[in-house]
Amino acid sequence: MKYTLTDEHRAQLGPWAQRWTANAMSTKAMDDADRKAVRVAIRGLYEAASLIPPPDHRIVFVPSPFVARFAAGFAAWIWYTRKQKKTASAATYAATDDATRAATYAATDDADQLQWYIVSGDMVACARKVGVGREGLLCARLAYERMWQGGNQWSGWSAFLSFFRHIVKLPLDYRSGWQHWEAACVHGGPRLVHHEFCIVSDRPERLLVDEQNQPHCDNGPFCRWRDGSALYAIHGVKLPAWIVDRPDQITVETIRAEANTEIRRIMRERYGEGRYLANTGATVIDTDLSSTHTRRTRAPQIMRALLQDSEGRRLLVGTDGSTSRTYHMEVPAEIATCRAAHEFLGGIDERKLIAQS
Amino acid sequence: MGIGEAVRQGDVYLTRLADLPDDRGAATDNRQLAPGSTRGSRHIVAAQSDVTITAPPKGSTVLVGPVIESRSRLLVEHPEHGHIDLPPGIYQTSFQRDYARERAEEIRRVQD
Repeated sequence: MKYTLTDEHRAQLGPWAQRWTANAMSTKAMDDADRKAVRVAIRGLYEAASLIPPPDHRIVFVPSPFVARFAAGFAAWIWYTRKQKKTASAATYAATDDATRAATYAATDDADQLQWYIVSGDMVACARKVGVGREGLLCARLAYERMWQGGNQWSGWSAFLSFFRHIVKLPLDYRSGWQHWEAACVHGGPRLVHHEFCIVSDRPERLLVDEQNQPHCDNGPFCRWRDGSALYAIHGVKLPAWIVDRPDQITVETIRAEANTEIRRIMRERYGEGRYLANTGATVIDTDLSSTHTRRTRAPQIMRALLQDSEGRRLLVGTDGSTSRTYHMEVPAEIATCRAAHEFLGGIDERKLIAQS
Repeated sequence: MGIGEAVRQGDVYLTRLADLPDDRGAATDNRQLAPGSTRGSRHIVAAQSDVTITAPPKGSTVLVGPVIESRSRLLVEHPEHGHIDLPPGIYQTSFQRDYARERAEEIRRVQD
């Protein structure tokens, strides 16, 4: 019979969501009871997948997802070489130092992450010390895609599915697998799962969000683990740590050099809009009014301006109608009006633009 | 909304076309119009919209996005910008350009 949400169950949706949101946001350090529960859950998950669980000493608890990722990558390579009966050659690793360094950047500088985190420790040196070199670092890079299970960071799905177990009480088989997944989500952080081992991260000690539940802290990391590794973001925009920790080092040059529009905007805001305009020697070339929503409904209009700085750069300055954020968008120096600037950036005829949000 | 008219949602533009382009790419199940995993890139065609989405043609610049053939109202959602609600039709997605004098010859899409 198909289930239909009852009033009684509907009343539980809010509290259930709050409970699982609290689980996702928990900063409680894992204790012995958590670790014991996670060990049981891990064994149950391997068995549910028809795999032999790792022995207890290969279910390892570490202080942060960063340690988990590198340790799992290194361990995966060691297990692979053991199975392949290959030996790591220190001389080879020394000769491929450049490649190793490149691999580290690959592991720690994914295009979408833009060094928005700090890791305590030199992972290149660590890789060399344990003899896994470049390959171990590459395994660490792939660990997130191939071995990652989110633990309490994946509370969303657990909240949804556990609602049907505990509130609705649908008569399904929870014992074979789901109860273990749920327990690992309640009692532990993210984990890296391998045929031979499982590495489980602790929860962070600090986890901050803004009023829209976006990762946010403007004077430090929004998320930090007990080993010092940390993540940085302002209102959901991932940032290099130095922009948050050392805003006095932001200059006109570093702002201009930043390729990401949102990071550039935040850098400029932290530098100071007025200071930025003054220090770039900006003068006004053109101003006009642009509709924020739709010109057909007489929506409010906002002013935009085309500026030229002391180096001859021209920038369209406009405010996004939805977010109220102000952007400075460079355009070619021959552009003379705000409208032409927008048409260049948007590749459209502004007269045919009927709505903006 | 007439043929050739456009709407903008942040750095994404949707222009209404009369016909499906001959050089459109393969159909895709990906309802996210802008590439990327950031919050800003989540311009998503809502699940209730009955659409066929085709990838941009091979060789097109990074400013050209997928073509959407919508047989129902086309609802495009975004976590920060207002939702777009358009009549059934064919729409070409395109992206705002990011320009810098030092790399003027390079055609770059805005990253947010």
